Amino acid sequence: MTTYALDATALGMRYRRGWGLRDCEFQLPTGRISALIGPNGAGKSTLMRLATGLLRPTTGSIRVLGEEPGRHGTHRKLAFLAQDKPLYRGFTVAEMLRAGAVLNPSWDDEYAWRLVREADVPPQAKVGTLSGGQRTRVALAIALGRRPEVVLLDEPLADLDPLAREDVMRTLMAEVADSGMTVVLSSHVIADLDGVCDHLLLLAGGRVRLQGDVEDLLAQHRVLIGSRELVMPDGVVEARTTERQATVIARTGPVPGWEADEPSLEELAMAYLRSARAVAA
Amino acid sequence: MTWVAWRQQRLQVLISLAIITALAAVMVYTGFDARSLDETAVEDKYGMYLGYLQLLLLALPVLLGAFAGGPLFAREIEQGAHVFSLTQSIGRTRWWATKIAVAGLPVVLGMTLLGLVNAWADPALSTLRGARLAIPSFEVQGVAIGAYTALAFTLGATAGLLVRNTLGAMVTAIVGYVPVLIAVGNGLRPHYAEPQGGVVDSTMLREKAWRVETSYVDGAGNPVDLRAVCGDDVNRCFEEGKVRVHALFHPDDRFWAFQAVEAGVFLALSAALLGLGAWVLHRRLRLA
Repeated sequence: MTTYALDATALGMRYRRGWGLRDCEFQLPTGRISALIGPNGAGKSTLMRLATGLLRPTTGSIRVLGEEPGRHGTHRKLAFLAQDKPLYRGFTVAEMLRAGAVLNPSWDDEYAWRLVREADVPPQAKVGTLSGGQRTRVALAIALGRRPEVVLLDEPLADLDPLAREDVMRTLMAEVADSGMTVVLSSHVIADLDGVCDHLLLLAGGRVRLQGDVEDLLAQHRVLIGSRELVMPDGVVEARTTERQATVIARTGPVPGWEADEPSLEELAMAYLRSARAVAA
Repeated sequence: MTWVAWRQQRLQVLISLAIITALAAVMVYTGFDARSLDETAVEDKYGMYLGYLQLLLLALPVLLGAFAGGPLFAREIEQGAHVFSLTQSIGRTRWWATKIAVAGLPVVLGMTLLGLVNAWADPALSTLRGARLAIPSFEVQGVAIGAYTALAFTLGATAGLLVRNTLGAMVTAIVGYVPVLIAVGNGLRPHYAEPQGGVVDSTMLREKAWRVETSYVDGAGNPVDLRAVCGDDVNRCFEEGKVRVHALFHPDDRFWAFQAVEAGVFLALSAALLGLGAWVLHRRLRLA
Protein backbone atom coordinates (compact mmCIF):
# COMPACT_ATOMS: atom_id res chain seq x y z
CA MET A 1 0.00 0.00 0.00
CA THR A 2 1.30 3.43 -0.92
CA THR A 3 2.01 5.89 1.86
CA TYR A 4 0.75 9.31 0.94
CA ALA A 5 2.15 12.62 2.19
CA LEU A 6 -1.39 13.61 3.11
CA ASP A 7 -4.35 11.26 3.02
CA ALA A 8 -7.80 12.49 4.01
CA THR A 9 -10.87 10.37 4.61
CA ALA A 10 -14.30 11.98 5.03
CA LEU A 11 -12.43 14.95 6.52
CA GLY A 12 -14.62 17.70 7.94
CA MET A 13 -14.05 20.68 10.18
CA ARG A 14 -16.92 22.68 11.60
CA TYR A 15 -16.48 26.15 13.03
CA ARG A 16 -19.09 28.12 14.91
CA ARG A 17 -19.95 29.98 11.71
CA GLY A 18 -20.28 26.77 9.67
CA TRP A 19 -18.28 24.08 7.93
CA GLY A 20 -14.76 25.07 6.95
CA LEU A 21 -14.12 21.75 5.25
CA ARG A 22 -16.66 19.06 4.51
CA ASP A 23 -16.48 15.46 3.30
CA CYS A 24 -12.99 15.84 1.87
CA GLU A 25 -11.35 12.79 0.32
CA PHE A 26 -7.95 13.30 -1.22
CA GLN A 27 -4.45 11.88 -1.42
CA LEU A 28 -1.32 13.92 -2.03
CA PRO A 29 1.55 11.71 -3.23
CA THR A 30 5.07 11.93 -1.81
CA GLY A 31 7.94 13.43 -3.74
CA ARG A 32 5.69 15.85 -5.60
CA ILE A 33 4.94 19.54 -5.48
CA SER A 34 1.24 19.86 -4.91
CA ALA A 35 -0.72 23.02 -5.47
CA LEU A 36 -3.56 23.71 -3.11
CA ILE A 37 -5.76 26.12 -4.97
CA GLY A 38 -8.92 27.85 -3.92
CA PRO A 39 -10.45 31.24 -3.27
CA ASN A 40 -10.11 32.91 0.11
CA GLY A 41 -12.16 30.96 2.62
CA ALA A 42 -12.08 27.75 0.59
CA GLY A 43 -10.53 25.82 3.47
CA LYS A 44 -6.87 25.81 2.44
CA SER A 45 -5.57 27.04 5.81
CA THR A 46 -7.97 24.80 7.69
CA LEU A 47 -6.68 21.78 5.78
CA MET A 48 -3.07 22.61 6.65
CA ARG A 49 -3.88 23.26 10.30
CA LEU A 50 -5.61 19.88 10.49
CA ALA A 51 -2.52 18.21 9.06
CA THR A 52 -0.25 19.87 11.65
CA GLY A 53 -2.51 18.94 14.56
CA LEU A 54 -3.28 22.56 15.41
CA LEU A 55 -6.92 21.72 14.75
CA ARG A 56 -8.69 18.43 15.29
CA PRO A 57 -11.16 17.32 12.67
CA THR A 58 -14.87 17.32 13.46
CA THR A 59 -15.35 14.31 11.18
CA GLY A 60 -13.09 11.84 9.42
CA SER A 61 -9.33 11.86 9.59
CA ILE A 62 -6.19 13.12 7.95
CA ARG A 63 -2.99 11.12 7.89
CA VAL A 64 0.47 12.55 7.47
CA LEU A 65 2.85 9.94 6.04
CA GLY A 66 0.41 7.35 7.34
CA GLU A 67 0.05 8.74 10.88
CA GLU A 68 -2.70 10.81 12.42
CA PRO A 69 -1.51 14.01 14.13
CA GLY A 70 -1.03 13.19 17.82
CA ARG A 71 -0.56 15.00 21.07
CA HIS A 72 3.17 15.53 20.79
CA GLY A 73 3.38 18.36 18.36
CA THR A 74 3.50 18.22 14.62
CA HIS A 75 4.74 15.05 12.90
CA ARG A 76 8.54 15.04 13.08
CA LYS A 77 8.82 14.82 9.33
CA LEU A 78 6.30 17.56 8.61
CA ALA A 79 7.07 21.28 8.59
CA PHE A 80 4.50 24.02 8.36
CA LEU A 81 4.88 27.64 7.38
CA ALA A 82 1.75 29.59 8.25
CA GLN A 83 0.53 32.46 6.15
CA ASP A 84 1.55 35.25 8.54
CA LYS A 85 5.00 33.65 9.12
CA PRO A 86 4.67 33.43 12.90
CA LEU A 87 7.95 33.92 14.76
CA TYR A 88 8.77 35.33 18.19
CA ARG A 89 8.87 39.07 17.52
CA GLY A 90 11.24 40.00 20.33
CA PHE A 91 13.84 37.37 19.38
CA THR A 92 16.83 38.05 17.18
CA VAL A 93 17.27 35.91 14.07
CA ALA A 94 20.04 33.97 15.85
CA GLU A 95 17.79 33.37 18.88
CA MET A 96 14.99 32.25 16.57
CA LEU A 97 17.31 29.63 15.08
CA ARG A 98 18.28 28.51 18.58
CA ALA A 99 14.56 28.14 19.37
CA GLY A 100 14.24 25.98 16.25
CA ALA A 101 17.15 23.88 17.49
CA VAL A 102 15.85 23.28 21.01
CA LEU A 103 12.29 22.55 19.87
CA ASN A 104 13.27 19.98 17.26
CA PRO A 105 15.39 16.87 17.78
CA SER A 106 15.89 16.48 14.05
CA TRP A 107 17.30 20.00 13.69
CA ASP A 108 20.09 20.59 11.15
CA ASP A 109 21.81 23.73 12.45
CA GLU A 110 24.37 24.05 9.69
CA TYR A 111 21.69 23.83 7.04
CA ALA A 112 19.36 26.37 8.67
CA TRP A 113 22.24 28.83 9.12
CA ARG A 114 23.27 28.41 5.50
CA LEU A 115 19.74 29.29 4.36
CA VAL A 116 19.74 32.39 6.59
CA ARG A 117 23.17 33.48 5.33
CA GLU A 118 22.06 33.02 1.74
CA ALA A 119 19.10 35.26 2.46
CA ASP A 120 21.44 38.02 3.68
CA VAL A 121 19.53 38.49 6.90
CA PRO A 122 21.63 39.96 9.74
CA PRO A 123 21.66 37.36 12.57
CA GLN A 124 21.48 40.00 15.31
CA ALA A 125 18.43 41.76 13.83
CA LYS A 126 15.21 41.48 15.83
CA VAL A 127 12.57 39.44 14.01
CA GLY A 128 10.07 42.29 14.44
CA THR A 129 12.26 44.64 12.40
CA LEU A 130 12.66 42.38 9.34
CA SER A 131 11.04 43.12 6.00
CA GLY A 132 8.34 40.77 4.72
CA GLY A 133 10.79 39.04 2.39
CA GLN A 134 13.45 38.56 5.09
CA ARG A 135 10.89 37.32 7.56
CA THR A 136 9.67 34.73 5.06
CA ARG A 137 13.23 33.59 4.37
CA VAL A 138 13.93 33.16 8.10
CA ALA A 139 10.66 31.33 8.68
CA LEU A 140 11.42 29.10 5.70
CA ALA A 141 14.93 28.42 6.98
CA ILE A 142 13.49 27.31 10.33
CA ALA A 143 10.81 25.17 8.69
CA LEU A 144 13.43 23.48 6.49
CA GLY A 145 15.93 23.26 9.37
CA ARG A 146 13.74 20.51 10.82
CA ARG A 147 14.72 18.48 7.77
CA PRO A 148 11.12 17.62 6.95
CA GLU A 149 10.01 15.09 4.36
CA VAL A 150 6.82 17.06 3.82
CA VAL A 151 6.56 20.82 3.99
CA LEU A 152 3.26 22.70 4.02
CA LEU A 153 3.45 26.30 2.89
CA ASP A 154 0.32 28.40 3.37
CA GLU A 155 0.31 31.30 0.93
CA PRO A 156 4.09 31.69 1.26
CA LEU A 157 4.23 34.41 -1.36
CA ALA A 158 1.34 36.60 -0.24
CA ASP A 159 2.42 40.12 0.70
CA LEU A 160 5.84 39.76 -0.89
CA ASP A 161 7.09 42.03 -3.68
CA PRO A 162 7.85 40.39 -7.05
CA LEU A 163 11.61 40.19 -6.41
CA ALA A 164 11.14 38.59 -3.00
CA ARG A 165 8.62 36.14 -4.50
CA GLU A 166 11.17 35.08 -7.03
CA ASP A 167 13.89 34.71 -4.35
CA VAL A 168 11.69 32.63 -2.08
CA MET A 169 10.54 30.35 -4.88
CA ARG A 170 14.08 29.89 -6.17
CA THR A 171 15.37 28.94 -2.71
CA LEU A 172 12.51 26.57 -2.18
CA MET A 173 12.85 24.84 -5.54
CA ALA A 174 16.60 24.45 -5.11
CA GLU A 175 16.07 22.73 -1.75
CA VAL A 176 13.32 20.53 -3.14
CA ALA A 177 15.52 19.45 -6.02
CA ASP A 178 18.34 18.59 -3.59
CA SER A 179 16.30 16.74 -1.00
CA GLY A 180 13.34 15.25 -2.82
CA MET A 181 10.97 16.82 -0.29
CA THR A 182 7.23 16.74 -0.75
CA VAL A 183 5.84 20.25 -0.94
CA VAL A 184 2.25 21.38 -0.54
CA LEU A 185 1.87 24.97 -1.57
CA SER A 186 -1.34 26.94 -1.25
CA SER A 187 -2.17 30.08 -3.13
CA HIS A 188 -5.08 31.95 -4.53
CA VAL A 189 -2.82 33.37 -7.24
CA ILE A 190 -2.71 30.50 -9.71
CA ALA A 191 -0.04 32.13 -11.86
CA ASP A 192 2.41 31.71 -8.94
CA LEU A 193 2.01 27.95 -9.10
CA ASP A 194 1.95 27.38 -12.86
CA GLY A 195 5.08 25.59 -14.00
CA VAL A 196 6.06 24.82 -10.42
CA CYS A 197 3.50 22.26 -9.34
CA ASP A 198 2.93 18.82 -10.74
CA HIS A 199 -0.06 17.84 -8.61
CA LEU A 200 -3.25 19.73 -7.98
CA LEU A 201 -5.89 19.87 -5.25
CA LEU A 202 -8.60 22.40 -5.89
CA LEU A 203 -10.88 23.43 -3.04
CA ALA A 204 -13.95 25.63 -3.12
CA GLY A 205 -16.55 26.15 -0.45
CA GLY A 206 -14.83 23.65 1.84
CA ARG A 207 -15.03 20.78 -0.67
CA VAL A 208 -12.62 19.13 -3.07
CA ARG A 209 -13.56 20.08 -6.65
CA LEU A 210 -10.63 18.66 -8.57
CA GLN A 211 -7.52 16.65 -7.80
CA GLY A 212 -4.85 14.77 -9.64
CA ASP A 213 -1.63 14.93 -11.57
CA VAL A 214 -1.42 18.27 -13.37
CA GLU A 215 -0.35 16.82 -16.72
CA ASP A 216 -3.06 14.18 -16.62
CA LEU A 217 -5.69 16.73 -15.73
CA LEU A 218 -4.64 19.05 -18.53
CA ALA A 219 -4.62 16.15 -21.00
CA GLN A 220 -8.12 15.10 -19.94
CA HIS A 221 -9.62 18.54 -20.47
CA ARG A 222 -10.22 20.65 -23.56
CA VAL A 223 -10.97 24.27 -24.20
CA LEU A 224 -13.53 24.14 -26.97
CA ILE A 225 -14.43 27.10 -29.13
CA GLY A 226 -17.19 26.91 -31.68
CA SER A 227 -20.53 28.19 -32.83
CA ARG A 228 -23.12 28.44 -30.10
CA GLU A 229 -25.41 26.34 -32.31
CA LEU A 230 -23.23 23.25 -31.81
CA VAL A 231 -24.28 20.45 -29.49
CA MET A 232 -22.60 20.68 -26.10
CA PRO A 233 -20.16 17.82 -25.44
CA ASP A 234 -20.26 15.61 -22.33
CA GLY A 235 -18.35 16.59 -19.20
CA VAL A 236 -18.85 20.32 -19.42
CA VAL A 237 -17.18 22.16 -16.55
CA GLU A 238 -18.07 25.63 -17.67
CA ALA A 239 -19.61 27.13 -20.78
CA ARG A 240 -19.62 30.78 -21.71
CA THR A 241 -21.45 32.07 -24.75
CA THR A 242 -21.34 35.34 -26.57
CA GLU A 243 -23.82 36.25 -29.34
CA ARG A 244 -22.09 34.09 -31.88
CA GLN A 245 -19.69 31.68 -30.27
CA ALA A 246 -19.36 29.45 -27.26
CA THR A 247 -16.25 28.79 -25.18
CA VAL A 248 -16.51 25.56 -23.26
CA ILE A 249 -14.14 23.83 -20.89
CA ALA A 250 -14.99 20.17 -20.65
CA ARG A 251 -13.51 16.92 -19.44
CA THR A 252 -13.42 15.32 -22.82
CA GLY A 253 -11.28 14.44 -25.82
CA PRO A 254 -11.55 16.12 -29.20
CA VAL A 255 -15.16 16.76 -30.25
CA PRO A 256 -16.17 17.12 -33.92
CA GLY A 257 -17.05 20.63 -34.97
CA TRP A 258 -15.24 22.35 -32.11
CA GLU A 259 -11.83 23.86 -32.16
CA ALA A 260 -10.09 22.10 -29.26
CA ASP A 261 -7.00 23.04 -27.25
CA GLU A 262 -5.44 21.75 -24.09
CA PRO A 263 -6.17 24.29 -21.34
CA SER A 264 -3.52 26.03 -19.26
CA LEU A 265 -3.48 25.32 -15.54
CA GLU A 266 -4.95 28.75 -14.90
CA GLU A 267 -7.77 28.29 -17.43
CA LEU A 268 -8.62 24.91 -15.98
CA ALA A 269 -8.54 26.06 -12.36
CA MET A 270 -10.55 29.18 -13.08
CA ALA A 271 -13.20 27.15 -14.88
CA TYR A 272 -13.64 24.88 -11.86
CA LEU A 273 -13.62 27.79 -9.41
CA ARG A 274 -16.21 29.75 -11.43
CA SER A 275 -18.46 26.73 -11.79
CA ALA A 276 -18.20 26.03 -8.04
CA ARG A 277 -19.22 29.59 -7.34
CA ALA A 278 -22.12 29.37 -9.82
CA VAL A 279 -23.39 26.23 -8.08
CA ALA A 280 -23.11 27.86 -4.68
CA ALA A 281 -24.91 31.04 -5.81
CA MET B 1 11.42 24.56 25.57
CA THR B 2 12.78 25.84 28.87
CA TRP B 3 15.25 28.09 27.10
CA VAL B 4 12.54 29.41 24.77
CA ALA B 5 10.18 30.12 27.67
CA TRP B 6 12.96 31.80 29.64
CA ARG B 7 13.94 33.95 26.66
CA GLN B 8 10.30 34.97 26.25
CA GLN B 9 9.63 35.73 29.92
CA ARG B 10 12.99 36.83 31.27
CA LEU B 11 12.24 40.57 31.26
CA GLN B 12 9.10 40.14 33.37
CA VAL B 13 10.75 37.64 35.69
CA LEU B 14 13.80 39.84 36.27
CA ILE B 15 11.75 42.98 36.86
CA SER B 16 9.56 41.15 39.39
CA LEU B 17 12.55 39.65 41.18
CA ALA B 18 14.25 43.07 41.29
CA ILE B 19 11.19 44.61 42.95
CA ILE B 20 11.01 41.75 45.45
CA THR B 21 14.73 41.96 46.25
CA ALA B 22 14.59 45.72 46.77
CA LEU B 23 11.66 45.36 49.17
CA ALA B 24 13.37 42.56 51.06
CA ALA B 25 16.46 44.74 51.48
CA VAL B 26 14.35 47.55 52.90
CA MET B 27 12.67 45.12 55.31
CA VAL B 28 15.96 43.70 56.52
CA TYR B 29 17.35 47.16 57.15
CA THR B 30 14.17 48.22 58.96
CA GLY B 31 14.13 45.06 61.04
CA PHE B 32 17.65 45.62 62.35
CA ASP B 33 17.18 49.34 62.82
CA ALA B 34 13.89 49.01 64.71
CA ARG B 35 15.36 46.41 67.04
CA SER B 36 18.00 48.93 68.09
CA LEU B 37 15.44 51.60 68.96
CA ASP B 38 13.04 51.91 71.90
CA GLU B 39 9.29 51.73 71.44
CA THR B 40 8.62 55.46 71.16
CA ALA B 41 11.41 56.00 68.66
CA VAL B 42 10.07 53.12 66.53
CA GLU B 43 6.63 54.69 66.54
CA ASP B 44 8.01 58.06 65.48
CA LYS B 45 10.27 56.69 62.81
CA TYR B 46 8.26 53.86 61.29
CA GLY B 47 4.58 54.75 61.78
CA MET B 48 4.16 56.03 58.23
CA TYR B 49 6.47 53.38 56.79
CA LEU B 50 4.40 50.49 58.07
CA GLY B 51 1.20 51.94 56.61
CA TYR B 52 2.72 52.28 53.16
CA LEU B 53 4.45 48.91 53.36
CA GLN B 54 1.20 47.15 54.15
CA LEU B 55 -0.54 48.93 51.28
CA LEU B 56 2.23 47.93 48.89
CA LEU B 57 2.33 44.33 50.08
CA LEU B 58 -1.44 44.01 49.75
CA ALA B 59 -1.23 45.11 46.12
CA LEU B 60 1.99 43.34 45.15
CA PRO B 61 0.76 39.71 44.84
CA VAL B 62 -2.02 40.62 42.42
CA LEU B 63 0.14 43.08 40.49
CA LEU B 64 3.09 40.72 40.02
CA GLY B 65 0.80 37.73 39.48
CA ALA B 66 -1.25 39.48 36.80
CA PHE B 67 1.91 40.93 35.25
CA ALA B 68 3.48 37.47 34.92
CA GLY B 69 0.33 35.47 34.15
CA GLY B 70 -1.82 37.76 31.99
CA PRO B 71 0.52 38.14 29.03
CA LEU B 72 1.99 34.63 29.31
CA PHE B 73 -0.29 33.00 26.73
CA ALA B 74 -2.38 35.97 25.65
CA ARG B 75 0.49 37.89 24.09
CA GLU B 76 1.86 34.87 22.24
CA ILE B 77 -1.60 34.11 20.87
CA GLU B 78 -2.22 37.78 20.01
CA GLN B 79 0.97 37.81 17.95
CA GLY B 80 0.13 34.47 16.34
CA ALA B 81 3.46 33.05 17.56
CA HIS B 82 1.74 30.09 19.26
CA VAL B 83 1.24 28.69 15.75
CA PHE B 84 5.02 28.51 15.53
CA SER B 85 5.43 27.02 19.02
CA LEU B 86 2.82 24.34 18.48
CA THR B 87 4.00 23.20 15.06
CA GLN B 88 7.43 22.15 16.34
CA SER B 89 8.27 18.76 17.80
CA ILE B 90 6.86 19.42 21.26
CA GLY B 91 3.38 18.77 22.57
CA ARG B 92 0.86 21.30 23.73
CA THR B 93 1.08 20.20 27.34
CA ARG B 94 4.82 20.68 27.47
CA TRP B 95 4.56 24.13 25.92
CA TRP B 96 1.92 25.13 28.46
CA ALA B 97 3.54 23.59 31.52
CA THR B 98 7.01 24.95 30.74
CA LYS B 99 5.72 28.47 30.28
CA ILE B 100 3.73 28.23 33.52
CA ALA B 101 6.77 27.00 35.44
CA VAL B 102 9.26 29.46 34.00
CA ALA B 103 7.05 32.51 34.44
CA GLY B 104 5.20 31.52 37.60
CA LEU B 105 7.59 29.71 39.93
CA PRO B 106 10.18 32.51 40.37
CA VAL B 107 7.51 35.06 41.26
CA VAL B 108 5.60 32.76 43.62
CA LEU B 109 8.78 31.62 45.37
CA GLY B 110 10.12 35.16 45.52
CA MET B 111 6.93 36.44 47.10
CA THR B 112 6.95 33.58 49.62
CA LEU B 113 10.50 34.50 50.64
CA LEU B 114 9.49 38.15 50.87
CA GLY B 115 6.65 37.15 53.21
CA LEU B 116 9.08 35.24 55.41
CA VAL B 117 11.49 38.19 55.52
CA ASN B 118 8.59 40.40 56.54
CA ALA B 119 7.56 37.91 59.23
CA TRP B 120 11.10 38.21 60.59
CA ALA B 121 11.02 42.02 60.51
CA ASP B 122 7.50 42.24 61.93
CA PRO B 123 8.08 41.75 65.70
CA ALA B 124 10.25 44.88 65.77
CA LEU B 125 7.29 46.89 64.48
CA SER B 126 4.54 44.97 66.26
CA THR B 127 3.57 47.91 68.50
CA LEU B 128 2.51 49.81 65.37
CA ARG B 129 -0.07 47.33 64.17
CA GLY B 130 -3.16 45.51 65.38
CA ALA B 131 -3.54 41.74 65.67
CA ARG B 132 -1.17 39.76 63.45
CA LEU B 133 -4.06 37.49 62.45
CA ALA B 134 -6.30 40.36 61.34
CA ILE B 135 -6.51 42.17 58.01
CA PRO B 136 -4.12 43.60 56.80
CA SER B 137 -1.26 42.29 58.93
CA PHE B 138 -2.04 38.68 58.13
CA GLU B 139 -1.95 39.20 54.36
CA VAL B 140 1.44 40.85 54.18
CA GLN B 141 3.69 38.31 55.89
CA GLY B 142 4.32 34.61 56.21
CA VAL B 143 3.70 32.06 53.47
CA ALA B 144 0.17 33.03 52.38
CA ILE B 145 1.44 35.96 50.30
CA GLY B 146 3.15 33.51 47.93
CA ALA B 147 -0.09 31.56 47.52
CA TYR B 148 -1.95 34.83 46.78
CA THR B 149 0.56 35.47 44.02
CA ALA B 150 -0.03 31.96 42.67
CA LEU B 151 -3.77 32.60 42.46
CA ALA B 152 -3.37 35.92 40.63
CA PHE B 153 -0.85 34.30 38.29
CA THR B 154 -2.97 31.26 37.42
CA LEU B 155 -6.03 33.48 36.98
CA GLY B 156 -4.10 35.60 34.48
CA ALA B 157 -2.58 32.63 32.65
CA THR B 158 -5.84 30.71 32.25
CA ALA B 159 -7.78 33.86 31.35
CA GLY B 160 -5.15 34.47 28.66
CA LEU B 161 -5.97 31.10 27.04
CA LEU B 162 -9.67 31.92 27.15
CA VAL B 163 -9.82 35.60 26.17
CA ARG B 164 -6.59 35.57 24.10
CA ASN B 165 -6.00 39.21 24.87
CA THR B 166 -3.26 40.55 27.16
CA LEU B 167 -5.16 43.44 28.66
CA GLY B 168 -8.29 41.34 29.11
CA ALA B 169 -6.32 38.60 30.87
CA MET B 170 -4.65 41.03 33.27
CA VAL B 171 -7.93 42.74 34.08
CA THR B 172 -9.57 39.34 34.65
CA ALA B 173 -6.77 38.43 37.06
CA ILE B 174 -7.24 41.59 39.12
CA VAL B 175 -11.05 41.57 39.03
CA GLY B 176 -11.15 37.90 39.92
CA TYR B 177 -8.53 38.05 42.67
CA VAL B 178 -9.74 40.93 44.85
CA PRO B 179 -13.16 39.49 45.77
CA VAL B 180 -11.59 36.12 46.61
CA LEU B 181 -9.07 37.73 48.96
CA ILE B 182 -11.77 39.76 50.69
CA ALA B 183 -14.19 36.84 50.92
CA VAL B 184 -11.59 34.45 52.35
CA GLY B 185 -10.27 37.00 54.86
CA ASN B 186 -13.70 37.88 56.18
CA GLY B 187 -15.79 34.81 55.57
CA LEU B 188 -13.44 31.85 55.82
CA ARG B 189 -10.42 32.73 57.91
CA PRO B 190 -12.30 33.19 61.24
CA HIS B 191 -13.39 29.55 60.88
CA TYR B 192 -9.98 27.95 60.35
CA ALA B 193 -10.16 26.97 64.03
CA GLU B 194 -12.73 27.12 66.81
CA PRO B 195 -12.35 30.57 68.38
CA GLN B 196 -11.68 30.77 72.08
CA GLY B 197 -14.27 32.65 74.09
CA GLY B 198 -14.09 34.55 77.30
CA VAL B 199 -14.44 37.68 79.26
CA VAL B 200 -11.61 39.87 78.14
CA ASP B 201 -9.71 42.57 79.92
CA SER B 202 -6.98 44.90 78.76
CA THR B 203 -4.19 42.29 78.93
CA MET B 204 -5.92 40.37 76.20
CA LEU B 205 -5.62 43.39 73.91
CA ARG B 206 -1.94 43.69 74.61
CA GLU B 207 -1.44 40.09 73.48
CA LYS B 208 -2.98 41.09 70.17
CA ALA B 209 -5.46 38.30 69.88
CA TRP B 210 -7.76 38.52 66.88
CA ARG B 211 -11.29 39.27 68.07
CA VAL B 212 -13.89 37.85 65.70
CA GLU B 213 -17.03 38.57 67.75
CA THR B 214 -17.81 40.92 70.67
CA SER B 215 -20.78 40.87 73.06
CA TYR B 216 -21.58 42.13 76.55
CA VAL B 217 -22.29 40.18 79.71
CA ASP B 218 -23.20 41.08 83.27
CA GLY B 219 -21.24 40.08 86.37
CA ALA B 220 -22.79 36.62 86.30
CA GLY B 221 -21.81 36.06 82.67
CA ASN B 222 -25.28 36.40 81.16
CA PRO B 223 -25.59 38.27 77.87
CA VAL B 224 -27.02 41.76 78.27
CA ASP B 225 -28.07 44.66 76.11
CA LEU B 226 -25.51 47.39 76.74
CA ARG B 227 -27.94 50.30 76.26
CA ALA B 228 -30.63 48.79 78.48
CA VAL B 229 -28.30 48.21 81.43
CA CYS B 230 -26.09 51.25 81.28
CA GLY B 231 -28.17 53.96 79.62
CA ASP B 232 -25.91 56.77 78.42
CA ASP B 233 -23.01 56.43 80.83
CA VAL B 234 -21.27 53.41 79.36
CA ASN B 235 -17.86 54.13 80.87
CA ARG B 236 -19.10 54.21 84.46
CA CYS B 237 -21.02 51.04 83.81
CA PHE B 238 -17.76 49.24 82.91
CA GLU B 239 -15.87 50.77 85.86
CA GLU B 240 -18.50 49.49 88.26
CA GLY B 241 -18.24 46.04 86.74
CA LYS B 242 -21.94 45.83 85.89
CA VAL B 243 -21.12 44.97 82.31
CA ARG B 244 -18.11 43.24 80.91
CA VAL B 245 -16.88 42.53 77.37
CA HIS B 246 -17.15 38.96 76.18
CA ALA B 247 -15.25 38.10 73.03
CA LEU B 248 -14.62 35.24 70.64
CA PHE B 249 -11.01 35.41 69.54
CA HIS B 250 -8.10 33.58 68.01
CA PRO B 251 -4.90 33.89 70.05
CA ASP B 252 -1.80 35.17 68.30
CA ASP B 253 -0.03 31.82 68.48
CA ARG B 254 -2.36 30.45 65.84
CA PHE B 255 -0.69 32.68 63.26
CA TRP B 256 1.43 30.07 61.49
CA ALA B 257 -1.31 27.42 61.51
CA PHE B 258 -3.68 29.94 59.94
CA GLN B 259 -1.02 30.92 57.41
CA ALA B 260 -0.66 27.28 56.40
CA VAL B 261 -4.42 26.82 55.99
CA GLU B 262 -4.78 30.06 54.06
CA ALA B 263 -1.88 29.14 51.76
CA GLY B 264 -3.51 25.74 51.24
CA VAL B 265 -6.83 27.34 50.28
CA PHE B 266 -5.22 29.62 47.72
CA LEU B 267 -2.98 26.91 46.31
CA ALA B 268 -6.01 24.65 45.88
CA LEU B 269 -7.82 27.43 44.00
CA SER B 270 -4.71 27.93 41.85
CA ALA B 271 -4.53 24.20 41.09
CA ALA B 272 -8.20 24.26 40.05
CA LEU B 273 -7.46 27.14 37.69
CA LEU B 274 -4.51 25.25 36.21
CA GLY B 275 -6.84 22.30 35.69
CA LEU B 276 -9.27 24.58 33.86
CA GLY B 277 -6.36 25.87 31.79
CA ALA B 278 -5.31 22.35 30.83
CA TRP B 279 -8.87 21.56 29.83
CA VAL B 280 -9.12 24.72 27.73
CA LEU B 281 -5.77 23.88 26.14
CA HIS B 282 -6.93 20.49 24.93
CA ARG B 283 -10.63 20.90 24.38
CA ARG B 284 -11.51 24.48 23.64
CA LEU B 285 -8.47 26.28 22.31
CA ARG B 286 -8.98 27.06 18.63
CA LEU B 287 -5.61 27.66 17.17
CA ALA B 288 -6.70 28.75 13.74
